[in-house]
Order: sequence, then C-alpha cells, then structure tokens
Amino acid sequence: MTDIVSSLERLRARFDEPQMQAAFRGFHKALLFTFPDLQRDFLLTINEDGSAALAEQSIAHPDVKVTMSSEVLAGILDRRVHPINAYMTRKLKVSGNMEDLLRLQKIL
Amino acid sequence: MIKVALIGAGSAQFAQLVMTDILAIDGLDEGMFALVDLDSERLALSHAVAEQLIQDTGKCWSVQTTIDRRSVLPGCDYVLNMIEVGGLATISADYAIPLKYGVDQCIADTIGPGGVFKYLRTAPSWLAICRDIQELCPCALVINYTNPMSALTLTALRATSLQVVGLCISTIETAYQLADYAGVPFERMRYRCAGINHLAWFVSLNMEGEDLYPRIYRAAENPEIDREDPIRFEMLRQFGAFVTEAGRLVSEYVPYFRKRKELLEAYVRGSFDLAGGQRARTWPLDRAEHDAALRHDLERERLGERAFFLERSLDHGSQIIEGHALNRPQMIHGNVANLGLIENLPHDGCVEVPCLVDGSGIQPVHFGRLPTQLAALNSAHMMVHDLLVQAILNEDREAAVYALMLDPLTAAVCSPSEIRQMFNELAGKEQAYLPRFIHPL
Repeated sequence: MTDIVSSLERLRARFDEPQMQAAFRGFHKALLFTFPDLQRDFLLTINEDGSAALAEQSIAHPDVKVTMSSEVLAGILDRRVHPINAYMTRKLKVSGNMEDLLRLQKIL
Repeated sequence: MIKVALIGAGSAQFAQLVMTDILAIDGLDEGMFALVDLDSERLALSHAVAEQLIQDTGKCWSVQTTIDRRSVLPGCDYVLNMIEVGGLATISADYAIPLKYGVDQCIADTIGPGGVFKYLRTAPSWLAICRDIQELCPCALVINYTNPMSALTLTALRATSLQVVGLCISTIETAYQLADYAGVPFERMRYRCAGINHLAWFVSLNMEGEDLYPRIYRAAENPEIDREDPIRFEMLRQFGAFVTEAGRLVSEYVPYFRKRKELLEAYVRGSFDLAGGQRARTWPLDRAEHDAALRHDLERERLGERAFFLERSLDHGSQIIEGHALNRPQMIHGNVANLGLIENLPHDGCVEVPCLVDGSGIQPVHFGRLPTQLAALNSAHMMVHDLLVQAILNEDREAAVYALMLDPLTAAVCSPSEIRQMFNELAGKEQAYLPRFIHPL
C-alpha cells in the first residue's frame, strides 16, 4: 500500500517553493482529499501567504474536494499517471468552483 | 520512418500532449516532427519540449521547426492542425458584444457569435494550409483539432480532396463518465454514439445485454450526481439520450438554458460557473500560467527530475497514426463527410461517427437514423456550418450573417435585426483578423 501521508506531504512541500507560494498568495482555500480505498480524509489548507498545512481530518464544506485512490495519487506524483487522464477516466474526481479548480491544476 | 507536421505547434501544451501520445506508440520508434508556427517564441518552447520528450522516451525521432510550412510539408505522412487566429486579441469582443445583446456564451469558440467569428477568422488560414497540403503532400492524412472543428473540417472536405478527419475527446470522455454513473466497468460497457461534434448522442448503452439507461436515470436522482451534470441530465430526461459534450458547453448548443437569467441560475451556475463571459477574463491568465508551468517543468527535466507525464492520453490522434502507419486496426470517433452515414442528417455535412482506422486509412461506419428529435437539434447546427462554409468559399458575407441568425441560442435571444447589428459590430471590432469581405459595409 502506498504511504499516503508521505505522498501528500510531497504535495504540501511544493507550497514551500517560493514560486508556488507566490502563485497561491491570497488564495486561502480548504482542499479535502478523500481516499476511498483507505477510508481516510486529509485536509490541505492553503494559507493567505501561499504556504500550506496538511492534517488528517475531514470537513463538511471544503472549497475543493478531490477523490481518488492512493495508488492514483502516487502515480501522479511519480509522473506515471497523467492527472488529466485520471480525471477523464473518472479515477480522479474533483468538485468545487471552476476558477479554483483551474488554479489548482498546477499542484498536480 | 514517418513524418508528422504539427501546424500551430506553438500551442505548446496541446503539442506536448500530441507528441507524448505519438512517442508512446509501441513499435513506432523512428520518425520526424515538423513543428510549424508563426509565433517563434512559443514555437521554440514546443521545440524544447519535443527534444526533451524524445530524450525521455529514448526513441529515434527528430524535430524540425519553421515558420514556413511549405518548406516542411513535402514528405509529410500526417498533418495535424491546431492553429489559432487572433485568439487572445479577439476573445474579449467575442464575449462582450454578444452579451450586450443578451447572448451569454460559455466557451464561445465552436458555435454562437464567438464560434461564428472564430470560424470567419480561422477559415481563410486553414483553407490556405489545406491547399498547400493538397499541393505538397496530397496523400497525407490530415487531422483537424482547431475549433470550430465541425465547420473547419467541412471546409476542408468541400474545398479539397484530402483525407481529413476532425477530432475531439468528448465521446470517449463521456463514455467513461456514463460507465461511472451506471456503476459498471468501462471495459465491459458497449455503446452506439453519433451526431455532430459536441452534440453526438449515446443512442444505446448496455452491458452484456442489460440496458444501462435505467441505471443512468437512477443516478440522476442523486442530487450530488445531478449537480455535476444538470444540463445533460435534463437533456436526457427531455430528449431521451445522453449527449457527448460537457454540460457547460452543450448549454450553448441548444436554445433552452442560457437565454434567461433564471435559467442560467438554475442550470449553469452551481455546476461550472462560466456565465457572464468568465472565460474571456480567465483564458489569457490560464494560458500564461500554463506556459510558465511548462517552462518550469522543462527546467526540472533538464535538471534530471521527471516532470513530464509520458502516459498516453485518450485523444484519438495517435490511435489514427498507430492504426494507419502500423496497420493495427483501431476504432475511433471521428468527424467526417456524412455521405449517408447518418441517414436523416444532411448528406453533404460533417458528422461525428465511429470510424475504423487501419493501413487503408479512415473508414467511417454507417450508423443509420438518429431519433428525429436528436437529428433536428443536429440539423440546425449543420445548416449553420453549411452557411459558414458557403460564406468563406464564395466570399459571401450575407451567408455568414444568415449563419449567425440561425444559431439556435442567438436566435432564442435576439431578433433578426438585432443579430445583424451584432454581426456588424463584431465585424467592425475584429476587422484586423477577418477577411475583407466580412468587414462592415
């Protein structure tokens, strides 16, 4: 089984890069990652300054909800799985405001 | 060794997708990409991406780049068109002027006032490209991706004897979506789908003899699922078939959902909020961000880090090349000359149907009749396409005005005289990118 916490931490760590922080400055949003295969939820909170924090928790009304298996996330991070393909074949599902979704494409 | 030309290769992100797919074809180990674009800066970006992809895949491909397409067309086996004419410069007018007349578009690049004017801007360049292909590599198989895809593909079919197919990913993407709604594995689902691009219909959907439509209707009763696709589920309930293009775009193909504020509120907002010309505001920013991201990925690749995705996409372009070049039969959904394939649609129009591709080329499959209510929705657009092609081939301004008058959403909102006024206003604003005969009188 993929180590989901380290996968998500890789994702979160991208927000430590100055370029990413600059791109997301002012974009204060809550992203809920749901992994049905693990029955675990994680919240990635993007802060006002563009940094991000990760916690294992669920909330009822996130700004964006991303649902996929832990294997798909690992595949995306390893560049084996293209997120657009995963989205089109319904292996990755997202819901939320269109503008937020477009902006968040870059984190994958 | 095959040679593949990408015309408009400065569309760097899309060129990357297409080249990734082609390089992923098993057994097609040698070839040449000829990248053509008038924007040398974006062309250089695509060139760098191509070189990196070739290095990543270890294949024996080479890359040529040029702003002069005629210099690379001789010897081409495949020509892929992805040009854009005047895009960012005109997008604001494409949305704002129609909005003033009450026409609230979504994507505005395939139909509606935005689509009509995108066609009028693009078709002369596309026609010139097709004539060069006809002269310099007449046996090449031509794949058109540029929107408005149906009308541009029809233009090439009418004006040349080239083998041309228009491609879009909407059918296969929707098929995956339907399998998910029905709760069945995609691989076991069977379907028949045809119509025109973005408005093709899944007339049957089954798995091992079970009609899957009852499952789709049940899925639509789940508010969360219905919210994901409100327009397409409404079209299914009212017209009896699921349509191929994503709900937000199909909303501008039919006269029902974008003509009044309360309808927009009910059907468009809350899913993907693309009303009020939102795309005109976000598109230039998106493009700049995509280019920046691509440059960043390229930099990471050069430092030895894997940033590019090498997985093959669902796009049919590489399937066509695989089927044809390696004689490995493939089934795709392509946009081709109707010639009776869909019996109750205009036979001289362009339709989207299943096609077999093998070493002999693209062989469209006869479909039969569509249910009349669905064919009627398609026919309305095919008449618009026909008028647009007449406008360009005969330099007939009035045919272009008629095309806009008959656009279903525009006609649902405006009177004919308002539409003519809107046409003149758009023609004036976008004059620099339009053929002279379209300029305001």
